[in-house]
Amino acid sequence: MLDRRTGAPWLFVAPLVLVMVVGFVWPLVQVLVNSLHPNTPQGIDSAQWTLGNYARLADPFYGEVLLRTLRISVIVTAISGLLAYPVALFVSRRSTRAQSLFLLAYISPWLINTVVKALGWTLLLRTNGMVNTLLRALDVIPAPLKLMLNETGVVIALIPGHFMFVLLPLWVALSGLDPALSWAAGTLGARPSAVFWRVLLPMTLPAFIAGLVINFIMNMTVFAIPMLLGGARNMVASMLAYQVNLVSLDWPLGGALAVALLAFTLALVWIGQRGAGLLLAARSVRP
Amino acid sequence: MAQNTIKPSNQRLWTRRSAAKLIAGAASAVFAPRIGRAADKTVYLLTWGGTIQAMLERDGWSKKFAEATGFEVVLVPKATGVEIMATAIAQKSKPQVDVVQSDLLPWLGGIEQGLYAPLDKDGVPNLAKLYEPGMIKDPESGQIIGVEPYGDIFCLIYNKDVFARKGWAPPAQWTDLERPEMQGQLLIPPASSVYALYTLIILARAHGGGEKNIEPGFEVMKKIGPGVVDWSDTFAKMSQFLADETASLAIHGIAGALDMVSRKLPVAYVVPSPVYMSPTAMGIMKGGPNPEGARAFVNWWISAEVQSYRAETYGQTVMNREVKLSDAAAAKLPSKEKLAQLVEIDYGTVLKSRQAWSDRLQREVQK
Amino acid sequence: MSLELVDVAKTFGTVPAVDGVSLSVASGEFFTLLGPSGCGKTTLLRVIAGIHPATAGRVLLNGRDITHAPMHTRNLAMVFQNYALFPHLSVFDNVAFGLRSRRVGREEIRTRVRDALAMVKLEALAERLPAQLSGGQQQRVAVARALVVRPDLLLFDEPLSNLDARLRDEMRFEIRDLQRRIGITTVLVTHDIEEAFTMSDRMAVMQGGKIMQIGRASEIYRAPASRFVANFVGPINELTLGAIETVDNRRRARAAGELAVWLPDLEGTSRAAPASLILRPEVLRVSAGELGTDNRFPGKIEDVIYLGASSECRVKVGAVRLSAVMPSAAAAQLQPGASVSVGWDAKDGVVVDAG
Repeated sequence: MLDRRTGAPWLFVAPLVLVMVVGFVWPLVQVLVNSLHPNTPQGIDSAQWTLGNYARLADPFYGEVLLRTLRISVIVTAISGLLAYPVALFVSRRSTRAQSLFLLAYISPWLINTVVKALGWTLLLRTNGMVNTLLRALDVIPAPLKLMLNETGVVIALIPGHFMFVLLPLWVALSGLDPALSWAAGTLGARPSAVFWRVLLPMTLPAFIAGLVINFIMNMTVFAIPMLLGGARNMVASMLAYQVNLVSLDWPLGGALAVALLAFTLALVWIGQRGAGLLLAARSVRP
Repeated sequence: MAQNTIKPSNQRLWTRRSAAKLIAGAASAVFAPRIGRAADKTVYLLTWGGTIQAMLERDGWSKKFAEATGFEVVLVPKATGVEIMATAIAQKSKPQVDVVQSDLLPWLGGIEQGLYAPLDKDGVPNLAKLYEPGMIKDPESGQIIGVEPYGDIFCLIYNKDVFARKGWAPPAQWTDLERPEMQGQLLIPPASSVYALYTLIILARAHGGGEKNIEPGFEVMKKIGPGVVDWSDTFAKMSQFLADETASLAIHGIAGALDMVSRKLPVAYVVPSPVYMSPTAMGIMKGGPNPEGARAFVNWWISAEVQSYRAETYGQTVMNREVKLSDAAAAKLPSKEKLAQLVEIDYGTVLKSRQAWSDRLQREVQK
Repeated sequence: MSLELVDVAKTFGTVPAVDGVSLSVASGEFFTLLGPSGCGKTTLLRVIAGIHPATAGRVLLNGRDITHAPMHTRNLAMVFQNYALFPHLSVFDNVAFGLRSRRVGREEIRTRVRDALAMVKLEALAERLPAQLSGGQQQRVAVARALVVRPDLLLFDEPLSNLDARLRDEMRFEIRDLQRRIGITTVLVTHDIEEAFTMSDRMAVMQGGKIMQIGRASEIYRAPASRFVANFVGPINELTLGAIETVDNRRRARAAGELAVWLPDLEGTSRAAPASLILRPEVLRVSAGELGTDNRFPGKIEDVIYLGASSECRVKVGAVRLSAVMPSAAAAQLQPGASVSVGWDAKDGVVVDAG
């Protein structure tokens, strides 16, 4: 497989492969192996093999956590998706200089440490926070709204944090489109809305879906924001993983949980991409 | 977990030997334990950052330790007691730290894992100066395997402005957590934490139960669960919610309460009877790189000098008999009479039930 | 359907791209906007299409003011330089696009698309995606897509510039032929003189956002209104003229400082500005013997360049170099270094303002 002629290109990717093997594949294999051993008070019993850890995941409590994670992720991805096209269209039609400024603005939440960001949100959203103070000062609301320590707070904080993952691929796709395509559609009698639905949307759909998938995965794995804005009552998958692995010190169960989450997320992504593929195929069917 | 080499399981997969060697070499460089460290004079202390980091690194106490013993201390800081224990257990087979300090409850979990080396008065002379409860014995051998340098006394912390404004009577006993007007005002540490287990025991005992009859505790917790605003996992969050009036009554330790008072937040605290304490525990890693230095550190850490400083500065209840508190500190800390009411916890039972209680709290209460 | 532009201007920021253009295109006419790149011709076309709103002036389509009408209401169609086919749609759906926008019935769409594809000889490729077509085929799809909606006005933006030379020649005639058959009013933008000359009924030569001259190809070529137009549409000999004097009702001037030349008659115009005499290479006669032309001078052949059907002969008259083009058969007798007569009739020269 690695003969002399193909050896050189392999050497170029070797550092990356090494990092991936040491830093990702190997720990992942460890996690998988751990998940197949029973946990005992003395630690992991490597001599025995079991599927019991996976059976323990059937606990309705874990189901509830997973459902909440899924609900928050879907809501955040859906809202980000709805906002993405108007924003991306707006940005892609500005001057080059304005575009880079807008993009920087949308990327900037990502440049801030996630814990600092979460703390910033608590300052905004808490009972006597800026949002409630402002709304009460303006007499919009009689009593403070409960904007954190619930799923609302998590959703509010996640949307700007992960919006760029939908925006960036879409912006790249939209600004890469030949403007003549819109003009051609317009001169052929398509209203601006029809230009969007019949030309811009189908042509940028793959990028849009890629963005949604990345956004969704980020939402599924987020930790600091639900921790600080949702609190222990609104536990999400990553908090559960933290608790099982670092509080209960039950690595086999933690392994099973990690493997199950990975499989679940990959399955959702696969379904999403396949659905998009079918959608695209359906659009090009003759009348 | 650490692996010295990755052996190619199938030679045919790696026809190019050098590639395999390269990876194996790099892998062993990554996984190999750092060697040659045992010879030096460094003691690695695995515990919290926070006040300990401030004390050792900012306020010059690591220098004092070096002067007193000739050893250097290096802090390996973690955020929570459970993370400290996770780290210690992870390196059980090849310890890279010498001293482990954590909350008593998770620390006790390390006994079953065989983490700790025994202590005696020859290696740690200051053991002789500790109160009897300050020493932890192996339940099987009866040997001393750890110390409790100090503890945090439980208290109720409340926003006195809110209480005054609403005309509520200040809290005075543990059952005040159940008062109807307190519902929707409560802050309790989360089910996964050590403090939540103490809260459960405190409430069980307040209603005629105890460690062996925990059900009354669960009944109360289930009753007040919906009235809990947040199951706060850090004291920082708790103090923020108390200060901004998201909640007005919390259960936590005196150390944190004193910190809030010193920051001029509008809070007051009360230590109801009976008195409960969450002790801190410290032990020496079995097979650690520097056992002599580890003993020197434990001995120094429970000395009157260090213990006085911890009590005066951080409001901790210390275990060294020779500690003399200043009047100001004594006024803030629980009196001798209060400490006389200290409840002795049946840690054997708690340790066995810990995981089950946490799971139940999480599923049935913390919703 | 006629098109009329009245003082149309388009400014981007502070840069005027189109600067006060007025013209009218008759119904069924093939009209070309010709000019070098950056002259504003494409911008003007986009203003007509409604892609760019006009900064000033009016656009009238068959008398209807469409200056501010959104592009989808203008009932025109445009073929773009890169064709702008929708890459995610098949040839059929590309052509059907405009019909679906107009909510034409399913059956009618099928018939009309089939007819349009037949017209450009692409019936067989209806199911293909644009990426699976050659450049020429894509061009035809773009034309079919534009024509199928029966627009009032057809716009072409450099439609042939992406094709290779042979195909370009072929498509020129094909498009011209289609346009004539359908009789649709057409505006084409190009920088290619040959394209403009072969396809259009009339054309406007543009420079710097302004129209320099409007006319038929022969008028533009034979009677350029300016040095720029003359130079742009073909090779020229340019001789600067001294003061023009009238002798026996004929006009005469000193050219290039040394040649006394007779000028074409002009209806009483007298030029105040310095003028130039423009001579196309093919109006010059070169002969070893005598010439019967109005103007004739002795000269010496510098070079004879064979160009195929024709040859270029470079003659030096005093210090002036002149270039003449003639059938190669005629040039065969001319040798470099030979003394010859070179001349032209006065009516074949054009006097323009000296640039």
